[in-house]
Amino acid sequence: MSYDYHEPHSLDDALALLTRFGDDGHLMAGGTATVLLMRQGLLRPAHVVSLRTIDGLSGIARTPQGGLRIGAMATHRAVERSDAARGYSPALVDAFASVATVRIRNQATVGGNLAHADPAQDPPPMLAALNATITVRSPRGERTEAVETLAVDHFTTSLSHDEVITSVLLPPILPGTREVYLKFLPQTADDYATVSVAATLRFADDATVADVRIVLGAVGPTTIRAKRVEDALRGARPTPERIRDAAALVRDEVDPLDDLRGSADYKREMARVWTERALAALTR
Amino acid sequence: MKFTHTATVAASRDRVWAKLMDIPAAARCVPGVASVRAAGSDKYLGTLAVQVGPVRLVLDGDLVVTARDEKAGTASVKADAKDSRVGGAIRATMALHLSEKEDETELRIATDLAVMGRIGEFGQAVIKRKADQLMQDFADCLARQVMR
Amino acid sequence: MTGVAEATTSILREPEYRIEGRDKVTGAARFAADIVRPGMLHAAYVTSPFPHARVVSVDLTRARAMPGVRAVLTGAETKPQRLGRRLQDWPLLAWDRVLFIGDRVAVVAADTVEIAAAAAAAVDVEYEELPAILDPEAALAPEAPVLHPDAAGYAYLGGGTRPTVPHPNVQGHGIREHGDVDAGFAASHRVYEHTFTVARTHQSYLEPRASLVWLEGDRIRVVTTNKAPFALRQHLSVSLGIPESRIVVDAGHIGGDFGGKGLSIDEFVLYHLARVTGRPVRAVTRYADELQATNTRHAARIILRTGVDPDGRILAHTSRVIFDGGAYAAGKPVATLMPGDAMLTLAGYRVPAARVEAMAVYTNQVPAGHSRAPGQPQNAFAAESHMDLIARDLGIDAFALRERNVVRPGDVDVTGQPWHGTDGAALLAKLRSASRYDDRTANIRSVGAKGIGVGIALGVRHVGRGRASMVLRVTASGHVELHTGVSDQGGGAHTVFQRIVASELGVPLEQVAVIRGTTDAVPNDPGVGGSRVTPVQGSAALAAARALKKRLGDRELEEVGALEVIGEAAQETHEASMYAYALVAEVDPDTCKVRIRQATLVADVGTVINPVALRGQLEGGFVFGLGQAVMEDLRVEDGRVVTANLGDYKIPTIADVPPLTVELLTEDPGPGPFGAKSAGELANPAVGAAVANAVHAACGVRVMSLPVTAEKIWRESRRSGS
Repeated sequence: MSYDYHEPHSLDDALALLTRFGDDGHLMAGGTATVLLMRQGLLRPAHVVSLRTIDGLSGIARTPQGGLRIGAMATHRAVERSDAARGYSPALVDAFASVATVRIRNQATVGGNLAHADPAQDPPPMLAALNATITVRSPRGERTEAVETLAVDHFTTSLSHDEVITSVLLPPILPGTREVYLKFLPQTADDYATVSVAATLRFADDATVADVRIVLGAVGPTTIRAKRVEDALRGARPTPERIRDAAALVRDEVDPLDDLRGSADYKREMARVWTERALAALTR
Repeated sequence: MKFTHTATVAASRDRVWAKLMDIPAAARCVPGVASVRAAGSDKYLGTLAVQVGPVRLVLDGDLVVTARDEKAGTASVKADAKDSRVGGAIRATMALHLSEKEDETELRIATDLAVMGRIGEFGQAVIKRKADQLMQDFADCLARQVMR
Repeated sequence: MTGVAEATTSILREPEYRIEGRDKVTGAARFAADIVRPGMLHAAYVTSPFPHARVVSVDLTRARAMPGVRAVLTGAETKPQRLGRRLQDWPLLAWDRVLFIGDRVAVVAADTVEIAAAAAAAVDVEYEELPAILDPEAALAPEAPVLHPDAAGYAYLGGGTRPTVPHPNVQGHGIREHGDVDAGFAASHRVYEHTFTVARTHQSYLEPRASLVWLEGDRIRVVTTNKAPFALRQHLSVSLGIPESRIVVDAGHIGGDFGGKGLSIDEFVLYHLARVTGRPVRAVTRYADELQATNTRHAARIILRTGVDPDGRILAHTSRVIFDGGAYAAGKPVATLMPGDAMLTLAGYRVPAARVEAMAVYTNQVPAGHSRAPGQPQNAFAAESHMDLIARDLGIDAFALRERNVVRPGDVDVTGQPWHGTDGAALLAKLRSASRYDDRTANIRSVGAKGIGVGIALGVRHVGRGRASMVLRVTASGHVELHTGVSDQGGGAHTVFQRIVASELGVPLEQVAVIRGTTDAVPNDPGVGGSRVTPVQGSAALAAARALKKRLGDRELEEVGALEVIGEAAQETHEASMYAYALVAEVDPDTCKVRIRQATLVADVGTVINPVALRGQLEGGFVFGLGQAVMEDLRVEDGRVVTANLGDYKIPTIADVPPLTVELLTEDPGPGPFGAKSAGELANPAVGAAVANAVHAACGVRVMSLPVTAEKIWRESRRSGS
């Protein structure tokens, strides 16, 4: 197939190109998903607009408040190896390190991953559990959006065609908070998750759960926030029995597909098992 | 892949039947359908646009009513459509069945869908989910229109 | 048995230097898809979207009008030509009916790959769908539609006539009986019957099929990934009606084979395109088409029935094996038109009486062909699971039951023939010690470890047979060149030959060059496959070295000037070797995920010629088997392969491979050079059963189908409440 490949040198130029090409253009970051779809013949843009020649989109740094800002063009590998990211949350690093192979992680970007909105990807549930937001630029200016609400369906986001994710902002983690990312791979180590669970939990001084956020991957059209499980734990002492009972509620919150990585029944049950395991790990 | 969808309409069977057999109007209840026009008796031409994330399909094809029995409240419809850009096609056969229960009518659609060519290489499970949603939206929309 | 000379042993003990390796790691090696000819065109196919349909019409108008399109052919132009390795039943292009999703209806040659693909998409084909037979049992029904009504007219290569079949939808069929089966069952203490199923899998070589064909005078030149170039020359000759002398096949480096590269499906129609356009034409298969439309391993359903005495000794055995052959039998090279070891249903044991029935059946599925140790992973999974179930029911240790029944030289096995090969008792004794079976099982028992178990499985593989010849040339400088038709498909064949020749001549390795030649330049060669390269072609290399030694007499290589000898070898004896596994598996009680903690493999390999390559074959065989044991499943829905890429069709990655201990039996010489046996297909078939048996030991759940996945264990454990 033939297409025109554009390497703008500023974000404004990129936005202008996207506006000009409309539906005929496709934005590319690392290209790991885009190139695959193009090679399969499923995606046939007339114009590909690359972000790789735009400076300033790939930094990873702690914010003065103690949060973390990740440039949208930072690679998975860069996050995985970043001291700033590890200092912020080792579980976040785990999530990025869980993606595919090192060759893919050297190429795939944080922003591209979010824009692709594959519900089986590793970073989105962890970013959502950490309450991350993205900054989006368009010809109309800048806006922010929660990672949790970015994806609206399989491979579909709320972004409009001329919007570009420029960075991901993770808020400071309150003292007493623990985080974990668990990925269930029943067949081979190199695969998409059958189910993944990202969770953060903060204890109050009286050893009850002050706050908890649980987000699952691969068991719905988007990442799934397990709100009923969270509600069952908030304010309570997380005893093994309570965790078990709370985790069981996740079965009704997920909406998995029957596919090559497991039947819907199996995934539903595995969502329970891994939610319980994640909570056990956070309260151990 | 096979699906069954149902929708219940607070209207008589005759009214639902009339709505259903006005194919160009009924077809507009499928999200993404554009320009359905008659092309002979019981044959219609049309276009269905479907988007799954970045993958955009424009399916051009025809729809044929292969059987209808107003008395029994049943009809069979066959749809064939092709996307020449991506390279692939769909073929769907739908068995429609209306049954009256007191002052309501149940619409039941049994669909057998085949997704062929390169389209099928984009995750069968996701396609199945999309098709399932599409047919349920159709049934719900039809129910709403009858009651309007 | 050959005497091992002084020089021999010392060279064979030297560390191995893979002579094919340098070109590959430096990128100098040229693969078929790297070859470009001036003016070359690219082919693309129009394929059937239906598993079974009548081709009503093909409209080429739009495709032919596209700029850059040089030719479009349909079945009307290639009719009635068909291709195949033994039975030529696969039309070059279908002209009346298509028999599977992916069956070819038309082909385009165009200036670029993109134009060819676009033109193929612009060919309008009208089909009339026919009822599809997607299941072998349905194909065998008396009233089932006949998929190949014209089978009587198909060419059957290799001499002889096609064996008769009990139903027109059967590709190949066999029944074999020995001993008094009924009396054996009547005398049995217990009779066990189990049914097993095995998923369709793919060879998953890295390099997709590629080929390039052009005409040079009256010669047809073929560059191909086919690993048996002389056989391909014959297939082309018969299909196209062109004498072999006019066809030159060039098969150099092949990027992985695993049994799949013996079937060619492009070269035939590329010839027609080259003829029509007068230009070279190339086809490189998309990997999605490799997975969806070439030749897979056969899915199988296997019923085993065995009668035993109170000690578990086998008295009688019957089996019925049904392989899903798919739309065409073209991928199968053996005379029976079944996978090679279709009838080896209880291999490795003394079986005084048996009746074995096996068949490969036509369906409207993707055609099945050969894959590393054809027929064996299916049969070994069934047999070794069956033995384990029998042991459990009788309350006999799985190891002990095998020791009571395993073959020793002279015993009659399931083939009805006396066993020529490994002493099974010695093999099992070595496995018992190497795997520390007694310690491990005692440990597991004493600590009451839940979720951990040891599984045993053994396997049998024949040593390759056939005839081959090679030319050995002495150059003016006293170097020797071995000219062979054996392609390098990754197994290290050329290194084997170099070591054999050097050791026999007593010269340094560097003095021996191995030169692969096209089919017009070297003697006929049977190709890579059937565990043949080391015992057969290796013997030809040895014979050539011996012939040269004889001609040399007392002279040195440097003194003789140009000299050429031919070495010929025939390895016709039926010899087999055995191997066995002990696997330690752990099963997660909640998710039922299986983790193989450790594996021990004991293999009887005879004399070792290439220590590194041998290890590579055994370890690689284990990993290959592990993939088919726990994850590989070429899933088909309504006739369509839905695992259409290597992201969905999973094969093992190195992180999935457990620690593996390999112990060799080398004392018993084989028929190959210096007493070598075969290794390429020795290690993969029994892994599936070893996993299933270990899982059963670990968590009490029996999985009766391959692959053994976490979800199957989970489902079965929920069903049985264990």
